[in-house]
This record gives sequence, structure tokens and C-alpha cells, in this order.
Amino acid sequence: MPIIINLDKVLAERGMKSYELAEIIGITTANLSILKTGKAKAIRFSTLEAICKALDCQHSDILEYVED
Amino acid sequence: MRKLIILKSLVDFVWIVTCVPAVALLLFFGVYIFVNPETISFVFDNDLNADSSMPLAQFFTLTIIAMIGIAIYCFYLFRITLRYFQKVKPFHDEVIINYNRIGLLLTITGVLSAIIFFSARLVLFDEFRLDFGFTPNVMLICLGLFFMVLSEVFKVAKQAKEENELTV
Repeated sequence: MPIIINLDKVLAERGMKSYELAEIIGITTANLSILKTGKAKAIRFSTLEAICKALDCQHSDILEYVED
Repeated sequence: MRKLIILKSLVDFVWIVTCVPAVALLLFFGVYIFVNPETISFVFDNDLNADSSMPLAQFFTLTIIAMIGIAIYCFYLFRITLRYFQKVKPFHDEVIINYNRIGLLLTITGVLSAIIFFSARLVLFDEFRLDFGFTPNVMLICLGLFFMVLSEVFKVAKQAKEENELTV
């Protein structure tokens, strides 16, 4: 898929663990793992908003479009 | 879920009481029509014409036996599919494949039986008869097509379910 998820990078920059983020935004670690590994087919605006709020970043820091 | 239990029980009952003995009977009858060709008159309502070719009558009878066998196989596939419903796996790949297979086989059986009965009447009884309307053949074709549509619907539903599960 041409959409790359840079959640790992942002998490490392913030020094935050996956389970901590999952707890803050209120989703399961399994679902966060689906998102991180790029297996997710869609992301809700509410989830994106919660991630941006928790990591204090823009959506473009997490999602990146790379042409195939 | 009580409806599913009733359906499964009914299907199991019909399978044990009707289908299992029918397989043995069909196999026996398939051989017996060559031993005693007179028994073919059981299959067709009226007596064969004196000038009717016996090998041709045997061929038609064998084809009818094969079609009944296919119908029993469809019933067996339906029984397997119901097991997946009981396991709460309605979108399993096997369910979609089975529905498509049942549909295809029933449609082919419906078309073939219409052709075979028409040809048998024409060749064996010199009777030209076309049945239109609410005939078992048409019902069989409709049922077959319905199962194929159901298979497509389940395929779409499975994709929607997967997409929903992969929405974070």
C-alpha cells in the first residue's frame, strides 16, 4: 500500500511505548499493532485525533504517502 | 439459534433416513437395469414403446440416477455448511465455496434433467412435450442460481467484515 505508517518513528522520538499509547488513546495493543504493521485497511478520524493529541504531532507525521 | 438447531436436525434426519439408503439403492438400481431391463418402466410413468431402443432407455435411466446422485451430493454439502454455521463461522471460505458448488451443480442438474426428460419422452415414447411454468426443473435452476447469488453475497459480506475488523 502506498500509505506508510510512521508511528514507530514518532513513538521512538517521544520515548513512548506502544502499550502506553494504546492505553492513552483507548484501543487495544492488538489493534495498535495492526496499525503499526500497515495491515490496517482504514483508520477512524477519532483514532487519528487521539494519536495526534497523545503524541503532540500532526497526522502527516504518522501517515506518509509514497508512490509505488 | 433455535431455528438453526431445528434445521440441522431436520437435515440430519433426512440425510440418515433418505439419502444414505438412496445412495445404496441408486447403486443397486444402476446395475440392476442391465440385469433386468424391465425395471426401467419404474423410472418412466408409462410403458416403453415396443420399438424403443433398450440401451437408449438404459442410458437415460443411468443419467437420471447420476442426477439424483448429484442432488444427494448437494444435500451433503449443505449439511457440511450448516456445521460451520453451528460453529459460528458463517464467513468461512468453505461456506462460500460450498454454496457456489451447490448452486452450480443444482443449475447444471436442472438444465440437464429438463433436456434428458424432454429427449427421453421424444425418443422413447414419441411424445413431444414442453413444460413451461412451475416445473421441478425450473425450481431446481432457480434454487441453484439462488445459491450462487448467496455465495457472492457471502463473499462481499466477508470482505466487509475483514475491512471492519482491520479498521483501527
